[in-house]
Amino acid sequence: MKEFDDIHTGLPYRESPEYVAGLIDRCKENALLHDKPVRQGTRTWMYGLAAAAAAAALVFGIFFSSLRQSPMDRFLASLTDEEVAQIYDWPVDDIPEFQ
Amino acid sequence: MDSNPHDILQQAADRFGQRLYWHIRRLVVSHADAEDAMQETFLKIFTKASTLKGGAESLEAWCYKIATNEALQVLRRRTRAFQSLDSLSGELSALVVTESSPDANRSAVLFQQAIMRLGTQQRIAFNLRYYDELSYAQIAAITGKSEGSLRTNYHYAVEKIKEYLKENAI
Repeated sequence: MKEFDDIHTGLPYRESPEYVAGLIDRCKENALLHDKPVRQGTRTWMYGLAAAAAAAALVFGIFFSSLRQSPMDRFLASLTDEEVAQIYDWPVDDIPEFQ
Repeated sequence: MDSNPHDILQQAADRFGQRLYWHIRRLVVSHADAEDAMQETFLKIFTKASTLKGGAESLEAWCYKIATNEALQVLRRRTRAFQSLDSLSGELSALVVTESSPDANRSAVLFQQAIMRLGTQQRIAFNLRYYDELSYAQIAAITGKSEGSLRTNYHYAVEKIKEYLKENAI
């Protein structure tokens, strides 16, 4: 097999096994930067954040809409106390305040 | 074969890392080019791990195949349009001298220069057989060539190297 055993067939380059081992580690670390599970994890995290934001928006929406006047309230607020009293047949002094 | 990319990358680094580096280095000569090809090789091993089929033996052939392709890719970047890889032999032979350690053995430098004078396919077959001591079946799995043509490649490579060494007085 070793046809050239009678001459020096080693490589003339200076890189040591330790140096090459360091290079292999760097290559491995760089390859791991392309790790799909990490990207999927990032995506999951982003989806989670988006879902939480949507849920929060929904809760706040319901909360604020509950604070908003209904059409009836807005209509009554536009009337004078006398007009409201006429509609409900209340004494004028008992008219509740509509916001 | 466990197709977990992390495990495959780890196995490739632990079991074949050094051999892959020197296989690439013997083909591209320049350390900087070897580093580029190594980086691409490891990236491919990691990202294409799911395509690997078979046992530990095929992992070795698969890693060598990727490393060989990446080394050839680096060499292709050195060629001009319509230039074949074989036309780089003179340039690579000269590069052996500049890349060699100042205290390198002269016969070791000359031996590498003789290998650089071979055609690309002969050089791959010779290196894998002589330095990596792979069987012709393993080399066939890496290169996609028949065992018969690899034997022929190796035989002619040895003859050409002997001739070059004789001409250059070793």
